[in-house]
Amino acid sequence: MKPTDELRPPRLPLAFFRWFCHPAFLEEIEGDLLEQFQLNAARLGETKARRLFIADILRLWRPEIIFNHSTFAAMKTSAWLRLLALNLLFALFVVLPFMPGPSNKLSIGLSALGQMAGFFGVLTLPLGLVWAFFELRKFRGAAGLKVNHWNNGFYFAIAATLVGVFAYALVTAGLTHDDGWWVTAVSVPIGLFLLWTTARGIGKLRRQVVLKFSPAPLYLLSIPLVVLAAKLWLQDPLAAASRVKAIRQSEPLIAAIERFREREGRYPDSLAELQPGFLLKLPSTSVMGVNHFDYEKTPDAFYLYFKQVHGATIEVVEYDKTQRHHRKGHYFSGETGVANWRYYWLD
Amino acid sequence: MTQYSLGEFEEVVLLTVAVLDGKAYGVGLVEELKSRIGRNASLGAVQIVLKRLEDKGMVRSEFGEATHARGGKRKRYYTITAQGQQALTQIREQRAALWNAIPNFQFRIA
Repeated sequence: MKPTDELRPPRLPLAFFRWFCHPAFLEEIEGDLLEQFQLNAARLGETKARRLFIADILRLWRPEIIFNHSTFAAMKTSAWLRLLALNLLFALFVVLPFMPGPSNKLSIGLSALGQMAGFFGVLTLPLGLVWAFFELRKFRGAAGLKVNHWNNGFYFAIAATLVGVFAYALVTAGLTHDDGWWVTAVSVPIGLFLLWTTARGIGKLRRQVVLKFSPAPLYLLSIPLVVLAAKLWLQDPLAAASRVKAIRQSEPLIAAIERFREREGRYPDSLAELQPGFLLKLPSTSVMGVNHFDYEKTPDAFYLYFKQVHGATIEVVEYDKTQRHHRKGHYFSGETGVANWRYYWLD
Repeated sequence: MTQYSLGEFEEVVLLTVAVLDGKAYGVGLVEELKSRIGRNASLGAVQIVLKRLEDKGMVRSEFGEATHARGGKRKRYYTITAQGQQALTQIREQRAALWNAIPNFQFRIA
């Protein structure tokens, strides 16, 4: 049997430990591991000591040892919560038009903002990855890094802000085109406030003397992925649910139209003709992103329809009891699951 | 008065650091925990708790000597700080108050 001081611990696990351990902890912990190995070898034999050595290394493979715990803790719970809240907010924006509630254009605007954040976020993912790489280097020892505009994140923040301003301007322009100048009147002050807040943060980054971890790239990485996940997994089922909800809301309206025909011998020229004799009030859609029901009289029947925004697509959901469903200009149409109703996706 | 928050293992490690009185380091603490309270703690668990306690300002550390058994690597010795002492005193007083509040008949059976 070899004297214990001639025994060597397994090389590969030790190399693995040297690779993952934060440099600030390497000397003391490696010394402890070697000392413990010698003690165990003397007490329990070489084979068991080697096994325990490997187990100890595996137990050390934890964030507190890989990164510097004090640096790791620099991202406070409130920062994590802010990150989570903003991600949830953007996911909510994407699905807001399908939510039950009073119809409003704001939900469509916020949805467009969420979609844009996802779209431009995918384009800025490489920027987020590079920035995150620069930030994660601080965990491995900020002291050895030179304070410059790459390491403090200044250049990355400028680039991300420019993309953000462009996306915001695009959404504002699009909604102004559709809904009028009031959108600009509302969104410009909000945008300027957001820009001012961001500029202050960027200023702090530029003046940073001691390098600190910035969670900003986590936003760039997580928001597009969360938006994408919301689009992939939530948008279709929620759109189907809101479609059926609005269809159910239209039932009294269809019944009133049919009563009108029975009494007058013709279909009404517009929904306004139904009031007040057949309906006191036109029913609301009860879906945030569906504004109202539209009506179109045909020679022998009528179309009743509503529109909802489905991503970048306008979805028209139409009632036609003759089931001819003549709507043009769509690239896809499908069954709603309710008799006489179909939906169409338009560019 | 500041309310200190320590986990059970953090408290045990901090007490052991105090027991070792300036001679506490990773392996020494693992051995002491085993011999005094029969607790088989891993080196990793002890190291992580030491880092956490240092982060909370309850211990401070400095490098000590290197030995052959350690492959020439230096030990890092941990000592309890005034804040660590206050935390332990506060925990002891809180526990004592709870022990004193237990009605006598509760433990009679044992």
